Amino acid sequence: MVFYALSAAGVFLPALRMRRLFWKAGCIASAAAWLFHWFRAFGFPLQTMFEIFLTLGMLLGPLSWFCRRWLGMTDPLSELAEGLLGFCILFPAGFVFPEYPRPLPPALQSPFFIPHVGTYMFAYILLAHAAVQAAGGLFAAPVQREYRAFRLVRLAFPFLTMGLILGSIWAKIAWGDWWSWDPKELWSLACWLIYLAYFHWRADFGVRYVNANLWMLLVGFLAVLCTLLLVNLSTFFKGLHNYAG
Amino acid sequence: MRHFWLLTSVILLGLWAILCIYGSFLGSQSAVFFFQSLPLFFFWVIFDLFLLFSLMNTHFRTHPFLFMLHSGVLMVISGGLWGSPKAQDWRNRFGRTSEIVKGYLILSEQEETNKVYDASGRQIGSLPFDLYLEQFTITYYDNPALSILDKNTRQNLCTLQQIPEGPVELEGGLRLEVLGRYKNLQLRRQQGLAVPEEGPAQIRNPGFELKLLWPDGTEEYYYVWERNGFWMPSSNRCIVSYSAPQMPRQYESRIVLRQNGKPTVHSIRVNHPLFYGGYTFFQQSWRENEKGCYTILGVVSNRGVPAVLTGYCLVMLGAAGHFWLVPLVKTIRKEHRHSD
Repeated sequence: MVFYALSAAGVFLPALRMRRLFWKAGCIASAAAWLFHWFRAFGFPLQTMFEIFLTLGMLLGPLSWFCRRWLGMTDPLSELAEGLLGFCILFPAGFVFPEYPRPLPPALQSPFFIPHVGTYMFAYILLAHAAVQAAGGLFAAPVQREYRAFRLVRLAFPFLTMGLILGSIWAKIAWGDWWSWDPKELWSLACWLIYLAYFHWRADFGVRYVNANLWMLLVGFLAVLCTLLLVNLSTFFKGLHNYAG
Repeated sequence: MRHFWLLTSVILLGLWAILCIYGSFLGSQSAVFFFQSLPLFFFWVIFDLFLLFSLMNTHFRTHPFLFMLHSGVLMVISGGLWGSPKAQDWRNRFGRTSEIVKGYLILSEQEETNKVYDASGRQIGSLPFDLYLEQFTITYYDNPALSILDKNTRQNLCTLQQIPEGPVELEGGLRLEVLGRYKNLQLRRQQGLAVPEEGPAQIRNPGFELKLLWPDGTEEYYYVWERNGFWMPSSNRCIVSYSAPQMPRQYESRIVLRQNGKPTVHSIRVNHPLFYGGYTFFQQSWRENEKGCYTILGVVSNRGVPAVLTGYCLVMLGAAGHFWLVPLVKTIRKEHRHSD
């Protein structure tokens, strides 16, 4: 977390020329923490909110590298996003959620557990990167940043789809229903629909109303945050996924 | 024309997203009624018809993956509608059938039944075959009731089969005390400290407040829940976890199916359902009464399942093809053109 914060600060402070080094150290440290926790946990570490955030932190490094290498995201905003996201993801893992592993309840003992949650993790990181680009686009270079965000969402969307489908098949096997209209399910479907609406809008208008595109991306990511955090942590939403809180 | 289809799609998708967000505030139970209500049923039908007509758009002829994605969504919604309680209700009414969409079988050991009940306990029908419960077993996590581990070395300092009634002297001069027993233990933050309190009475989440007294006089506080959870200040030197004897690992119902006098034995566990006779049987729950344990098996009709599964495959292939494969091929071609 500290390494990622220093890496983000490195974008603003020319004195911190070791930005890349800090970023690499952040990747290695979060991967090591994740492996260490997996060794101690009762199963693959994706059950509790702590494990989810630890896994997100571990995935951030390779996915950011992928974006840099294959999507050409080497501008200062992308570099700032990598560090900031690392800090924001690992902070709750370090200071908010309890770290102790739990035994898996019967419903989670399924071959769908890892792919269902794992694909969502991939999607969420890519969508977070896209949201940073969209937010940046509201201030400067909107068309260029919207295009970067579009490429990221295009990459993330099949993961989001896969997570939704795998969850539905798992629910059918475990509880006999494809869909239980549980708050978490509804929010994750809302995310999927918002990004789908964005694709349709973009196919229709392109970047003619670029600010509308950017706002749609931000609303989509807000829905992602609600799915990931609000539904699990708020006592208001009662449903099948509350065990993860 | 393309503009009409795309803009209407944005409106319908947006509307659906808003309905989802609204539904999440209703809670699972009410949301089920809301999304299976007649107006929403018509919304799905309109959405389905819109998708069906949109597939005739010439744009899809040159975009096969996009066609797969859209036709997949169409199949998923159609399959879902076909297997929905509302559609089944109409089939039963107009087709004079009596197929069960969803219900529950309640079985004690050595008991046979084909009667299906709804969630309120009302009998809603009978299966064309009998199910005999040979055995119902619950396996538990075999870790001890209360375990105290050294945080740094992970060495087990003590295991107790039960939460003790009074203070207990442990090895190494440690002393364990139970400070509080709660039916619904909740922790509240007050000036940086965790303060235990009794939560709402209608929720059962039993927990205990424990105190470890070290030989050097240090006091440490620990909070453990029967249902699999614990909390302690990060400065504490131990990990105290509590897993109640009733913490289950798996539930299993061994069922004998009798149809035409031929018995076959099947095992139904959580995440391991039984597909038989056009129905899926899954381990829903269990209860205990004066006679002992009895199992509650969920039973759902398999109507619409092939359509939904095919739809899912199409959606997945379409999404991967359209969003990953097509851009990749375009990029490779572009790079080739540049290199030429």
